[in-house]
Amino acid sequence: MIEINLSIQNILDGRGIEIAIIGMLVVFTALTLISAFISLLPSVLRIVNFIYPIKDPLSLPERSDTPKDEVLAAIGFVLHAAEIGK
Amino acid sequence: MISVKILFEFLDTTGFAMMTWGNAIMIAVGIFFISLAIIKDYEPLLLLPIGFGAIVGNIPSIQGMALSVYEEGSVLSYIYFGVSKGIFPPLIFLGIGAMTDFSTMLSNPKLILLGAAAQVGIFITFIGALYLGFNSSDAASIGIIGGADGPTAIFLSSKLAPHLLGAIAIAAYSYMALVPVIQPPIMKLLTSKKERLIRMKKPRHVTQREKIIFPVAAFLVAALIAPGAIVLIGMLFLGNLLKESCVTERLANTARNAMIDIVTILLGFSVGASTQAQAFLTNQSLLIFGLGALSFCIATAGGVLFAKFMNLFLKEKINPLIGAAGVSAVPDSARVVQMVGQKEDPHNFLLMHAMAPNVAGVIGSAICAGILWSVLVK
Repeated sequence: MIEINLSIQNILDGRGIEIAIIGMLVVFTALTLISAFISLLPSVLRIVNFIYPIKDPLSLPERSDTPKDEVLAAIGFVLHAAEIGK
Repeated sequence: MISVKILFEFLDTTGFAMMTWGNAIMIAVGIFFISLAIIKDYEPLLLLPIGFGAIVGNIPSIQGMALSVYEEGSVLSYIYFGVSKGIFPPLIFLGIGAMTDFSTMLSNPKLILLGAAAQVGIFITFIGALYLGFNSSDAASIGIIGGADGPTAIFLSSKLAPHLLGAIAIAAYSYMALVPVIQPPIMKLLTSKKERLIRMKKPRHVTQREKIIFPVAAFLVAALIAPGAIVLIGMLFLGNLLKESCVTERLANTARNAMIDIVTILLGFSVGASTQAQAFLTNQSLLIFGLGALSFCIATAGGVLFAKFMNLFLKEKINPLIGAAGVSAVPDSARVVQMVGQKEDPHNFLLMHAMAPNVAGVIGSAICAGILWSVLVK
Protein backbone atom coordinates (compact mmCIF):
# COMPACT_ATOMS: atom_id res chain seq x y z
CA MET A 1 0.00 0.00 0.00
CA ILE A 2 1.39 3.39 -0.98
CA GLU A 3 1.34 6.36 1.33
CA ILE A 4 0.64 9.50 -0.63
CA ASN A 5 3.47 11.87 0.03
CA LEU A 6 3.45 14.74 -2.43
CA SER A 7 6.96 16.09 -2.70
CA ILE A 8 9.28 17.43 -5.34
CA GLN A 9 12.04 15.68 -3.43
CA ASN A 10 10.53 12.32 -4.52
CA ILE A 11 11.12 13.29 -8.14
CA LEU A 12 14.68 14.32 -7.43
CA ASP A 13 15.38 11.17 -5.41
CA GLY A 14 13.95 8.99 -8.17
CA ARG A 15 16.03 10.80 -10.83
CA GLY A 16 12.71 11.53 -12.55
CA ILE A 17 13.74 14.52 -14.64
CA GLU A 18 16.99 12.92 -15.85
CA ILE A 19 15.33 9.64 -16.79
CA ALA A 20 12.52 11.48 -18.59
CA ILE A 21 14.88 13.68 -20.60
CA ILE A 22 17.25 10.84 -21.47
CA GLY A 23 14.30 8.59 -22.29
CA MET A 24 12.73 11.05 -24.73
CA LEU A 25 16.13 11.75 -26.24
CA VAL A 26 16.81 8.05 -26.83
CA VAL A 27 13.34 7.39 -28.31
CA PHE A 28 13.72 10.35 -30.67
CA THR A 29 17.23 9.26 -31.63
CA ALA A 30 16.17 5.69 -32.36
CA LEU A 31 13.12 6.66 -34.38
CA THR A 32 14.97 9.47 -36.19
CA LEU A 33 17.68 6.99 -37.23
CA ILE A 34 15.02 4.54 -38.45
CA SER A 35 13.32 7.41 -40.28
CA ALA A 36 16.61 8.49 -41.88
CA PHE A 37 17.35 4.92 -42.91
CA ILE A 38 13.94 4.57 -44.56
CA SER A 39 14.40 7.90 -46.37
CA LEU A 40 17.73 6.78 -47.77
CA LEU A 41 16.66 3.23 -48.62
CA PRO A 42 15.03 3.92 -52.03
CA SER A 43 18.14 5.83 -53.21
CA VAL A 44 20.45 3.06 -51.99
CA LEU A 45 18.32 0.42 -53.70
CA ARG A 46 18.38 2.46 -56.93
CA ILE A 47 22.19 2.52 -56.86
CA VAL A 48 22.35 -1.19 -56.01
CA ASN A 49 20.00 -1.96 -58.89
CA PHE A 50 22.13 0.19 -61.20
CA ILE A 51 25.38 -1.55 -60.25
CA TYR A 52 23.90 -5.03 -60.11
CA PRO A 53 21.04 -5.00 -62.58
CA ILE A 54 19.76 -8.37 -61.46
CA LYS A 55 16.19 -9.12 -62.31
CA ASP A 56 14.62 -9.25 -58.90
CA PRO A 57 11.41 -11.23 -58.87
CA LEU A 58 10.36 -9.40 -55.73
CA SER A 59 10.53 -6.01 -57.42
CA LEU A 60 8.27 -7.08 -60.25
CA PRO A 61 4.84 -5.50 -60.20
CA GLU A 62 2.42 -7.54 -58.19
CA ARG A 63 0.31 -10.01 -60.12
CA SER A 64 -3.09 -8.60 -60.79
CA ASP A 65 -6.16 -10.77 -60.61
CA THR A 66 -7.96 -8.49 -63.07
CA PRO A 67 -8.06 -10.01 -66.58
CA LYS A 68 -6.17 -8.18 -69.31
CA ASP A 69 -7.97 -5.95 -71.82
CA GLU A 70 -7.78 -8.55 -74.60
CA VAL A 71 -9.34 -11.18 -72.38
CA LEU A 72 -12.09 -8.78 -71.35
CA ALA A 73 -12.72 -7.94 -75.01
CA ALA A 74 -12.96 -11.65 -75.86
CA ILE A 75 -15.39 -12.29 -72.99
CA GLY A 76 -17.45 -9.29 -74.10
CA PHE A 77 -17.52 -10.55 -77.66
CA VAL A 78 -18.67 -14.04 -76.61
CA LEU A 79 -21.40 -12.62 -74.38
CA HIS A 80 -22.52 -10.25 -77.12
CA ALA A 81 -22.57 -13.08 -79.68
CA ALA A 82 -24.57 -15.25 -77.29
CA GLU A 83 -27.02 -12.37 -76.74
CA ILE A 84 -27.52 -11.92 -80.51
CA GLY A 85 -27.91 -15.67 -80.99
CA LYS A 86 -30.88 -15.77 -78.56
CA MET B 1 -27.28 -35.37 12.71
CA ILE B 2 -23.81 -35.89 11.29
CA SER B 3 -25.04 -35.30 7.75
CA VAL B 4 -26.60 -31.97 8.80
CA LYS B 5 -23.27 -30.96 10.32
CA ILE B 6 -21.50 -31.82 7.08
CA LEU B 7 -24.09 -29.82 5.16
CA PHE B 8 -23.43 -26.76 7.36
CA GLU B 9 -19.69 -27.22 7.01
CA PHE B 10 -20.13 -27.34 3.25
CA LEU B 11 -22.34 -24.24 3.26
CA ASP B 12 -19.56 -22.38 5.08
CA THR B 13 -17.24 -23.12 2.19
CA THR B 14 -19.54 -21.85 -0.57
CA GLY B 15 -18.87 -18.63 -2.38
CA PHE B 16 -22.00 -17.07 -0.85
CA ALA B 17 -20.68 -17.53 2.67
CA MET B 18 -17.24 -16.12 1.96
CA MET B 19 -18.21 -13.36 -0.45
CA THR B 20 -17.00 -9.88 0.50
CA TRP B 21 -18.27 -6.54 -0.74
CA GLY B 22 -15.03 -6.18 -2.63
CA ASN B 23 -15.56 -9.45 -4.47
CA ALA B 24 -19.12 -8.41 -5.35
CA ILE B 25 -17.88 -5.07 -6.70
CA MET B 26 -15.22 -6.77 -8.82
CA ILE B 27 -17.76 -9.27 -10.17
CA ALA B 28 -19.93 -6.28 -11.14
CA VAL B 29 -16.90 -4.71 -12.85
CA GLY B 30 -16.36 -7.98 -14.74
CA ILE B 31 -19.98 -7.98 -15.89
CA PHE B 32 -19.59 -4.31 -16.89
CA PHE B 33 -16.54 -5.17 -19.04
CA ILE B 34 -18.41 -8.02 -20.72
CA SER B 35 -21.34 -5.67 -21.39
CA LEU B 36 -19.01 -3.02 -22.83
CA ALA B 37 -17.49 -5.66 -25.11
CA ILE B 38 -20.81 -7.07 -26.32
CA ILE B 39 -23.06 -4.01 -26.38
CA LYS B 40 -20.60 -1.22 -27.22
CA ASP B 41 -18.10 -3.38 -29.13
CA TYR B 42 -15.22 -1.75 -27.16
CA GLU B 43 -12.13 -3.98 -27.61
CA PRO B 44 -14.25 -7.16 -27.31
CA LEU B 45 -11.31 -9.48 -27.90
CA LEU B 46 -9.73 -8.20 -24.70
CA LEU B 47 -12.51 -6.92 -22.50
CA LEU B 48 -14.57 -10.09 -22.74
CA PRO B 49 -11.87 -12.49 -21.49
CA ILE B 50 -10.70 -9.91 -18.92
CA GLY B 51 -14.27 -9.39 -17.69
CA PHE B 52 -14.94 -13.10 -17.36
CA GLY B 53 -11.55 -13.58 -15.72
CA ALA B 54 -12.47 -10.89 -13.17
CA ILE B 55 -15.64 -12.82 -12.33
CA VAL B 56 -13.71 -16.09 -11.99
CA GLY B 57 -10.97 -14.48 -9.90
CA ASN B 58 -13.43 -13.00 -7.43
CA ILE B 59 -15.27 -16.16 -6.52
CA PRO B 60 -13.96 -16.72 -2.99
CA SER B 61 -12.14 -20.01 -2.62
CA ILE B 62 -11.27 -22.17 0.37
CA GLN B 63 -7.79 -21.65 1.75
CA GLY B 64 -5.44 -24.42 0.70
CA MET B 65 -7.50 -25.57 -2.27
CA ALA B 66 -5.11 -23.89 -4.72
CA LEU B 67 -7.68 -22.23 -6.96
CA SER B 68 -6.67 -18.59 -7.44
CA VAL B 69 -3.89 -17.20 -9.62
CA TYR B 70 -1.93 -16.27 -6.53
CA GLU B 71 -1.89 -19.79 -5.02
CA GLU B 72 1.06 -21.94 -5.94
CA GLY B 73 0.11 -25.05 -7.89
CA SER B 74 -3.31 -23.84 -9.03
CA VAL B 75 -4.24 -24.23 -12.69
CA LEU B 76 -4.84 -20.48 -12.93
CA SER B 77 -1.37 -19.78 -11.53
CA TYR B 78 0.15 -21.79 -14.38
CA ILE B 79 -1.79 -19.77 -16.95
CA TYR B 80 -0.85 -16.55 -15.12
CA PHE B 81 2.79 -17.63 -15.32
CA GLY B 82 2.81 -16.36 -18.92
CA VAL B 83 1.79 -12.92 -17.65
CA SER B 84 3.89 -12.75 -14.49
CA LYS B 85 7.05 -13.81 -16.31
CA GLY B 86 6.38 -11.58 -19.33
CA ILE B 87 6.04 -14.46 -21.80
CA PHE B 88 2.70 -13.56 -23.38
CA PRO B 89 3.49 -9.95 -24.42
CA PRO B 90 6.34 -10.86 -26.82
CA LEU B 91 4.16 -13.58 -28.36
CA ILE B 92 1.44 -11.01 -28.95
CA PHE B 93 4.05 -8.74 -30.51
CA LEU B 94 4.97 -11.57 -32.90
CA GLY B 95 1.35 -11.72 -34.02
CA ILE B 96 1.10 -7.94 -34.29
CA GLY B 97 4.24 -7.90 -36.45
CA ALA B 98 2.77 -10.55 -38.74
CA MET B 99 -0.37 -8.43 -39.10
CA THR B 100 1.21 -5.03 -39.55
CA ASP B 101 1.82 -3.43 -42.90
CA PHE B 102 4.55 -0.83 -42.48
CA SER B 103 4.05 0.52 -46.03
CA THR B 104 2.50 3.85 -45.02
CA MET B 105 5.32 4.43 -42.57
CA LEU B 106 7.93 3.51 -45.17
CA SER B 107 6.33 5.83 -47.71
CA ASN B 108 6.37 8.85 -45.38
CA PRO B 109 9.20 8.34 -42.87
CA LYS B 110 8.95 11.80 -41.26
CA LEU B 111 5.65 10.67 -39.66
CA ILE B 112 7.67 8.25 -37.52
CA LEU B 113 8.64 11.20 -35.33
CA LEU B 114 5.03 11.55 -34.22
CA GLY B 115 5.33 8.07 -32.74
CA ALA B 116 8.28 9.32 -30.71
CA ALA B 117 6.57 12.53 -29.59
CA ALA B 118 3.54 10.71 -28.21
CA GLN B 119 5.79 8.82 -25.78
CA VAL B 120 6.06 12.03 -23.76
CA GLY B 121 2.99 10.80 -21.87
CA ILE B 122 5.02 7.91 -20.45
CA PHE B 123 7.76 10.09 -19.02
CA ILE B 124 5.57 12.92 -17.69
CA THR B 125 3.39 10.38 -15.91
CA PHE B 126 6.54 8.73 -14.58
CA ILE B 127 7.46 12.06 -13.00
CA GLY B 128 3.88 12.49 -11.74
CA ALA B 129 3.88 9.05 -10.11
CA LEU B 130 7.22 9.80 -8.43
CA TYR B 131 5.75 13.06 -7.12
CA LEU B 132 2.86 11.13 -5.56
CA GLY B 133 5.30 8.92 -3.66
CA PHE B 134 5.60 5.81 -5.83
CA ASN B 135 9.12 4.40 -6.09
CA SER B 136 10.95 4.58 -9.45
CA SER B 137 10.08 1.04 -10.61
CA ASP B 138 6.39 1.44 -9.78
CA ALA B 139 6.32 4.90 -11.36
CA ALA B 140 7.88 3.59 -14.60
CA SER B 141 5.35 0.76 -14.78
CA ILE B 142 2.50 3.22 -14.29
CA GLY B 143 3.94 5.67 -16.83
CA ILE B 144 4.11 3.01 -19.54
CA ILE B 145 0.28 2.93 -19.57
CA GLY B 146 0.62 6.11 -21.65
CA GLY B 147 2.21 4.02 -24.38
CA ALA B 148 -1.34 2.71 -24.93
CA ASP B 149 0.08 -0.71 -25.54
CA GLY B 150 -1.27 -3.46 -23.29
CA PRO B 151 1.46 -6.05 -23.94
CA THR B 152 4.23 -3.49 -23.38
CA ALA B 153 2.62 -2.33 -20.12
CA ILE B 154 2.31 -5.93 -18.91
CA PHE B 155 5.86 -6.75 -19.96
CA LEU B 156 7.43 -3.82 -18.13
CA SER B 157 5.35 -4.14 -14.98
CA SER B 158 6.08 -7.89 -14.82
CA LYS B 159 9.76 -6.95 -14.75
CA LEU B 160 9.69 -3.85 -12.54
CA ALA B 161 6.52 -3.95 -10.44
CA PRO B 162 4.86 -7.40 -10.45
CA HIS B 163 2.66 -6.44 -7.48
CA LEU B 164 0.98 -3.74 -9.61
CA LEU B 165 0.55 -5.92 -12.68
CA GLY B 166 -3.19 -6.52 -12.35
CA ALA B 167 -4.09 -2.86 -11.89
CA ILE B 168 -1.73 -1.70 -14.65
CA ALA B 169 -2.98 -4.29 -17.15
CA ILE B 170 -6.62 -3.48 -16.45
CA ALA B 171 -5.92 0.27 -16.68
CA ALA B 172 -3.97 -0.11 -19.94
CA TYR B 173 -6.60 -2.25 -21.64
CA SER B 174 -9.49 -0.15 -20.32
CA TYR B 175 -8.01 3.03 -21.71
CA MET B 176 -7.20 1.31 -25.00
CA ALA B 177 -10.86 0.36 -25.21
CA LEU B 178 -11.79 3.95 -24.42
CA VAL B 179 -9.60 5.51 -27.14
CA PRO B 180 -12.69 6.66 -29.10
CA VAL B 181 -13.93 8.44 -25.98
CA ILE B 182 -10.68 9.90 -24.60
CA GLN B 183 -8.91 11.14 -27.72
CA PRO B 184 -11.42 13.18 -29.79
CA PRO B 185 -11.96 16.01 -27.26
CA ILE B 186 -8.20 16.49 -26.88
CA MET B 187 -7.68 16.42 -30.65
CA LYS B 188 -10.40 19.02 -31.21
CA LEU B 189 -9.19 21.21 -28.38
CA LEU B 190 -5.65 21.40 -29.75
CA THR B 191 -6.42 21.90 -33.46
CA SER B 192 -8.23 24.53 -35.49
CA LYS B 193 -10.88 23.67 -38.09
CA LYS B 194 -8.45 24.76 -40.80
CA GLU B 195 -5.84 22.31 -39.52
CA ARG B 196 -8.35 19.46 -39.31
CA LEU B 197 -9.22 20.06 -42.97
CA ILE B 198 -5.65 19.59 -44.23
CA ARG B 199 -5.48 16.91 -46.89
CA MET B 200 -2.31 14.90 -47.25
CA LYS B 201 -0.61 13.60 -50.37
CA LYS B 202 -1.22 9.98 -51.35
CA PRO B 203 1.61 7.76 -50.03
CA ARG B 204 4.16 6.53 -52.60
CA HIS B 205 4.39 2.92 -53.67
CA VAL B 206 6.76 0.88 -51.48
CA THR B 207 8.65 -2.01 -53.07
CA GLN B 208 8.67 -5.47 -51.57
CA ARG B 209 12.44 -5.26 -51.17
CA GLU B 210 12.07 -2.20 -48.90
CA LYS B 211 9.48 -4.03 -46.83
CA ILE B 212 11.87 -6.98 -46.38
CA ILE B 213 14.92 -4.90 -45.48
CA PHE B 214 13.02 -2.67 -43.04
CA PRO B 215 12.35 -5.12 -40.16
CA VAL B 216 15.96 -6.30 -40.05
CA ALA B 217 17.45 -2.81 -40.23
CA ALA B 218 14.95 -1.22 -37.84
CA PHE B 219 15.51 -4.03 -35.32
CA LEU B 220 19.27 -3.48 -35.45
CA VAL B 221 18.90 0.27 -34.90
CA ALA B 222 16.33 -0.04 -32.08
CA ALA B 223 17.97 -2.97 -30.31
CA LEU B 224 21.48 -1.55 -30.43
CA ILE B 225 20.26 1.75 -28.97
CA ALA B 226 17.93 0.23 -26.36
CA PRO B 227 18.87 -3.43 -25.77
CA GLY B 228 16.14 -3.71 -23.14
CA ALA B 229 13.65 -3.66 -26.01
CA ILE B 230 15.17 -6.71 -27.72
CA VAL B 231 12.41 -9.13 -26.73
CA LEU B 232 9.45 -6.98 -27.72
CA ILE B 233 10.98 -5.33 -30.78
CA GLY B 234 12.63 -8.59 -31.87
CA MET B 235 9.36 -10.49 -31.85
CA LEU B 236 7.56 -7.60 -33.57
CA PHE B 237 10.02 -7.48 -36.42
CA LEU B 238 10.36 -11.26 -36.67
CA GLY B 239 6.59 -11.40 -37.17
CA ASN B 240 6.83 -8.70 -39.80
CA LEU B 241 9.67 -10.45 -41.61
CA LEU B 242 7.65 -13.67 -41.66
CA LYS B 243 4.88 -11.71 -43.37
CA GLU B 244 6.95 -9.70 -45.83
CA SER B 245 9.49 -12.33 -46.84
CA CYS B 246 6.74 -14.13 -48.83
CA VAL B 247 8.45 -17.47 -48.13
CA THR B 248 7.00 -18.18 -44.68
CA GLU B 249 3.35 -17.51 -45.32
CA ARG B 250 2.29 -20.47 -43.19
CA LEU B 251 4.23 -19.22 -40.16
CA ALA B 252 2.96 -15.67 -40.64
CA ASN B 253 -0.60 -16.96 -40.87
CA THR B 254 -0.24 -18.94 -37.66
CA ALA B 255 1.36 -16.02 -35.84
CA ARG B 256 -1.32 -13.51 -36.86
CA ASN B 257 -4.31 -15.84 -36.43
CA ALA B 258 -4.22 -18.93 -34.24
CA MET B 259 -1.27 -18.01 -32.05
CA ILE B 260 -2.21 -14.43 -31.22
CA ASP B 261 -5.79 -15.52 -30.54
CA ILE B 262 -4.72 -18.25 -28.13
CA VAL B 263 -2.32 -15.94 -26.30
CA THR B 264 -4.93 -13.16 -26.16
CA ILE B 265 -7.45 -15.51 -24.54
CA LEU B 266 -4.93 -16.76 -21.96
CA LEU B 267 -3.57 -13.28 -21.25
CA GLY B 268 -6.96 -11.60 -20.97
CA PHE B 269 -8.45 -14.31 -18.82
CA SER B 270 -5.53 -14.60 -16.41
CA VAL B 271 -5.13 -10.82 -16.08
CA GLY B 272 -8.84 -10.64 -15.27
CA ALA B 273 -8.49 -13.46 -12.76
CA SER B 274 -5.66 -11.60 -11.06
CA THR B 275 -8.00 -8.76 -10.03
CA GLN B 276 -9.05 -10.32 -6.74
CA ALA B 277 -10.68 -7.64 -4.63
CA GLN B 278 -8.26 -8.19 -1.74
CA ALA B 279 -5.31 -7.37 -4.01
CA PHE B 280 -7.00 -5.00 -6.44
CA LEU B 281 -9.39 -2.72 -4.56
CA THR B 282 -6.83 -0.43 -2.99
CA ASN B 283 -6.19 3.29 -3.12
CA GLN B 284 -3.06 2.39 -5.08
CA SER B 285 -5.19 0.98 -7.93
CA LEU B 286 -7.31 4.14 -7.97
CA LEU B 287 -4.15 6.24 -8.27
CA ILE B 288 -2.92 3.98 -11.07
CA PHE B 289 -6.19 4.46 -12.94
CA GLY B 290 -5.99 8.22 -12.50
CA LEU B 291 -2.36 8.41 -13.60
CA GLY B 292 -3.07 6.07 -16.53
CA ALA B 293 -5.79 8.39 -17.82
CA LEU B 294 -3.46 11.36 -17.43
CA SER B 295 -0.72 9.51 -19.27
CA PHE B 296 -3.03 8.70 -22.16
CA CYS B 297 -4.21 12.30 -22.47
CA ILE B 298 -0.67 13.70 -22.38
CA ALA B 299 0.46 11.17 -25.00
CA THR B 300 -2.38 12.20 -27.32
CA ALA B 301 -1.67 15.88 -26.79
CA GLY B 302 2.07 15.31 -27.30
CA GLY B 303 1.50 13.73 -30.71
CA VAL B 304 -0.91 16.43 -31.90
CA LEU B 305 1.27 19.31 -30.69
CA PHE B 306 4.39 17.83 -32.26
CA ALA B 307 2.56 17.50 -35.59
CA LYS B 308 1.73 21.22 -35.35
CA PHE B 309 5.38 21.92 -34.51
CA MET B 310 6.52 19.93 -37.56
CA ASN B 311 4.15 21.96 -39.73
CA LEU B 312 6.16 25.09 -38.91
CA PHE B 313 9.01 23.66 -40.99
CA LEU B 314 7.25 21.55 -43.60
CA LYS B 315 6.31 22.74 -47.07
CA GLU B 316 3.70 20.01 -47.44
CA LYS B 317 1.69 20.31 -44.24
CA ILE B 318 0.54 17.28 -42.31
CA ASN B 319 -2.87 17.07 -40.70
CA PRO B 320 -2.09 17.42 -36.97
CA LEU B 321 -4.89 15.04 -36.09
CA ILE B 322 -2.67 12.15 -37.15
CA GLY B 323 -0.31 13.02 -34.27
CA ALA B 324 -2.90 11.50 -31.93
CA ALA B 325 -2.26 8.13 -33.56
CA GLY B 326 1.29 8.25 -32.17
CA VAL B 327 -0.03 6.47 -29.10
CA SER B 328 0.27 2.90 -30.15
CA ALA B 329 -3.28 1.59 -29.69
CA VAL B 330 -3.28 -0.08 -33.12
CA PRO B 331 -5.47 0.45 -35.08
CA ASP B 332 -8.00 2.13 -32.82
CA SER B 333 -6.29 5.49 -32.53
CA ALA B 334 -5.78 5.60 -36.33
CA ARG B 335 -9.49 4.90 -36.73
CA VAL B 336 -10.30 7.72 -34.32
CA VAL B 337 -8.17 10.09 -36.43
CA GLN B 338 -10.12 9.03 -39.51
CA MET B 339 -13.42 9.54 -37.69
CA VAL B 340 -12.54 13.01 -36.36
CA GLY B 341 -11.09 14.06 -39.73
CA GLN B 342 -14.17 12.91 -41.63
CA LYS B 343 -16.46 14.88 -39.34
CA GLU B 344 -14.86 18.02 -40.79
CA ASP B 345 -14.48 16.76 -44.35
CA PRO B 346 -16.20 13.50 -45.33
CA HIS B 347 -13.86 13.14 -48.34
CA ASN B 348 -10.63 13.38 -46.35
CA PHE B 349 -9.16 9.93 -45.80
CA LEU B 350 -6.60 10.10 -43.01
CA LEU B 351 -6.59 6.45 -41.98
CA MET B 352 -3.64 5.35 -44.11
CA HIS B 353 -1.60 8.39 -43.05
CA ALA B 354 -2.47 7.82 -39.38
CA MET B 355 -1.26 4.24 -39.58
CA ALA B 356 2.33 5.53 -39.95
CA PRO B 357 2.58 7.22 -36.52
CA ASN B 358 0.41 4.44 -35.12
CA VAL B 359 2.88 1.65 -35.94
CA ALA B 360 5.79 3.97 -35.10
CA GLY B 361 4.14 4.36 -31.69
CA VAL B 362 4.31 0.59 -31.17
CA ILE B 363 8.05 0.70 -31.82
CA GLY B 364 8.44 3.84 -29.70
CA SER B 365 6.61 2.47 -26.66
CA ALA B 366 8.59 -0.78 -26.82
CA ILE B 367 11.81 1.26 -26.92
CA CYS B 368 10.60 3.29 -23.91
CA ALA B 369 9.92 0.06 -22.03
CA GLY B 370 13.44 -1.07 -22.89
CA ILE B 371 14.95 2.20 -21.70
CA LEU B 372 13.04 2.19 -18.40
CA TRP B 373 13.87 -1.46 -17.79
CA SER B 374 17.57 -0.91 -18.51
CA VAL B 375 17.79 2.15 -16.26
CA LEU B 376 15.75 0.82 -13.35
CA VAL B 377 16.59 -2.88 -13.28
CA LYS B 378 18.11 -3.85 -9.96
